Amino acid sequence: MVEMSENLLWILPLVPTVAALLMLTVRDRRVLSALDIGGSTVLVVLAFTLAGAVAADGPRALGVFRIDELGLVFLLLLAVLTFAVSIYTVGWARQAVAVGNMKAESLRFYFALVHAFVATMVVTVLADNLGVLWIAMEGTTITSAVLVGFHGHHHGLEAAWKYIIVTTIGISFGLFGTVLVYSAAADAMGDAGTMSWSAIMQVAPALDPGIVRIGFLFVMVGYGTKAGLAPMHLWLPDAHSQAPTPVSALLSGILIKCALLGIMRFQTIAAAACGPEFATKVLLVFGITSVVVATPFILAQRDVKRLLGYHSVEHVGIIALGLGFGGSVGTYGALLHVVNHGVTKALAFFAAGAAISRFDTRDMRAIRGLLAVAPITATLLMLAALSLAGVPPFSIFVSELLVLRAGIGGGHWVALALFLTMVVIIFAGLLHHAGAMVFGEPTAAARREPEAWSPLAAMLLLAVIMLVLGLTIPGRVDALLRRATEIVVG
Amino acid sequence: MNEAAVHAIIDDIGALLLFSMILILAADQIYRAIYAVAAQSLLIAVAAGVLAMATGNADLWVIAGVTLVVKAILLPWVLHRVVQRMNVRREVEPVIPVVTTLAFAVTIVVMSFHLSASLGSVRQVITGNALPVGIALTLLGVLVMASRKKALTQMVGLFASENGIFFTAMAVTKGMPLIIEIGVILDVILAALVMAILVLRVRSTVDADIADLDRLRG
Repeated sequence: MVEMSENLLWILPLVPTVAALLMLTVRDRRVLSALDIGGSTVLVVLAFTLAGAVAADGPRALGVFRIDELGLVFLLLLAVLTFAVSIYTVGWARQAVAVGNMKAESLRFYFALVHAFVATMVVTVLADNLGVLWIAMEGTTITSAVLVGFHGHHHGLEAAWKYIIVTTIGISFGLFGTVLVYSAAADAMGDAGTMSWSAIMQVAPALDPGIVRIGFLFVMVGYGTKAGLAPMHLWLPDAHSQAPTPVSALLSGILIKCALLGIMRFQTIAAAACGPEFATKVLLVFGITSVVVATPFILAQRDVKRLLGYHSVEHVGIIALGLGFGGSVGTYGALLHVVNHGVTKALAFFAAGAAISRFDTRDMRAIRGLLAVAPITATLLMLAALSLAGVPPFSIFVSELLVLRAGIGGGHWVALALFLTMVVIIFAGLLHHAGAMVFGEPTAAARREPEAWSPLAAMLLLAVIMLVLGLTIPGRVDALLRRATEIVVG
Repeated sequence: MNEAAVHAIIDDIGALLLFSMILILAADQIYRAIYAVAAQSLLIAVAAGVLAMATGNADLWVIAGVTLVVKAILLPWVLHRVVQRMNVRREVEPVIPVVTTLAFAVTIVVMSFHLSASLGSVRQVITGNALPVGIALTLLGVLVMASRKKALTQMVGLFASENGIFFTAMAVTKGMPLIIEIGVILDVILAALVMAILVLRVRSTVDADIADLDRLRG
């Protein structure tokens, strides 16, 4: 039993890889979708199997891979979102080919790239070796940059270029920081230096604090770029708005969270080497900057997908704030927010994508009366918007409250005041935008055909998770988050 | 080779690396920038070879070889081909005047030395001036990317930045584990290919430099 679950560590990244290779050999859209759903189903089942094994017997390691409860939070989110995206894609791809947004013959490359992208993210989450973490992180950039520009029109290509250049510059800083931390570790361990996180953690208190501090700053800028923290977020609204909708959901729902996981790994090293205050202070500054910078853009936005993109900058900022306020409450809140925001934002992108294809525009001023043409999608869009705005009883309210509590506990009054002000402003702005799209008289151009089953199924799945997590945190999820919090806080 | 000689050679290579970086920053033609970054990669390969001889670490020979083939020959060749495909012998278009860029560069170099001097005891474990040179190269590469409008020059900046990281990794820790270095180089190759494809696609559809597109705002 124990051995089997260790094997899962190399089987997990292999599943989407094999799916991607198989997809290249197929041309039929139905077969591609079947492979897509099949691959994601296997991924979900294996991820939950691994979760059960870790819950029973603790962390597992195999070579450069290792899974602990912290990684598991992200792995499960990744698997569930990939599954939802696969279901959504069935209807999305049919529609995209029908209206000519997607060429039928290039569809297989699209599907294969999505799974390659998922495979690189799986490796990011499972990586114990910090070098492998970096390589996989750059791998996510390469695969998803192609996806961002997949439509081939110049807006998409411009976004793809900005994305690959900005994140590659950023992530170079990440590699530099990794090298510095590695050199500190090699110095502490003697000749047999290793880049393994778990091994570095064992000698972490003995690392040179000066070099780890600089290393952490470089990593923070590097992986922070990928996470979309301001002021390195410049690529994010473009990439999230220009990417095909299922890819937007993956970018916003899980990719930026994977970068945060990288930051957390280094945060634990930095906390052990130079005390927890340094890392949390840095996170606090980036967090509050992101929340403040995103606000005006959310208010003034006209493009619905850009709106959601800027909104992700705000929420990544909230997660960083939670980590920055620190302590068990703040970290628990941050991790819960990772899950809540991932699920809710994917739902919001799905619903927005459905609305965009009905009205043939992303301009929110031209999207009116969605409720009349697509009642279920409209309801779900409104629910997602309410949740994103932080209305109780939805899940994001709970995690934001935890972050707030941690801030009050730590006495960070200035940060709290800024945070609350921005959240209230964004609340008003977001509900105004969503209300205008959902209610009113639909324009004449709106498509009125019945809603397709597959996007609805995917959205309902995510909505159920969102609602459940808002009302109660199931015991197993709670236990997982508590263990993950202990790993970060120490 | 004794320790002192190795330190002296690595320091000399560091100085040459900084010089090659100045050439990239001051280049007024894209070809010159490409040749300069190729020369810089060659220097990195030489540094890896020297360290391999000094430490007897066979992995470093592999790294030297891969760096030579990929970064000093293959990637510059790809860039060269893309320039030819675009069939325009475009000048490098700076966003800010070259003189200002060079002034920034000097500031960055001084600050890098200052930063690593402030580390005090940590420097003891690190070969000579490798750390400040590495930091300076990485940041200067970013400066190239930020201060140039043309996509290909930005790619040159990226490779230079990556060279800085490699140099630091080698000099500071006698190299990262081989498998990691290979993985990193593989990533750089793939990123370069994707970038080259994007540049050529934009050139063929809207006849503009991809880095000049600025319709996505707000």
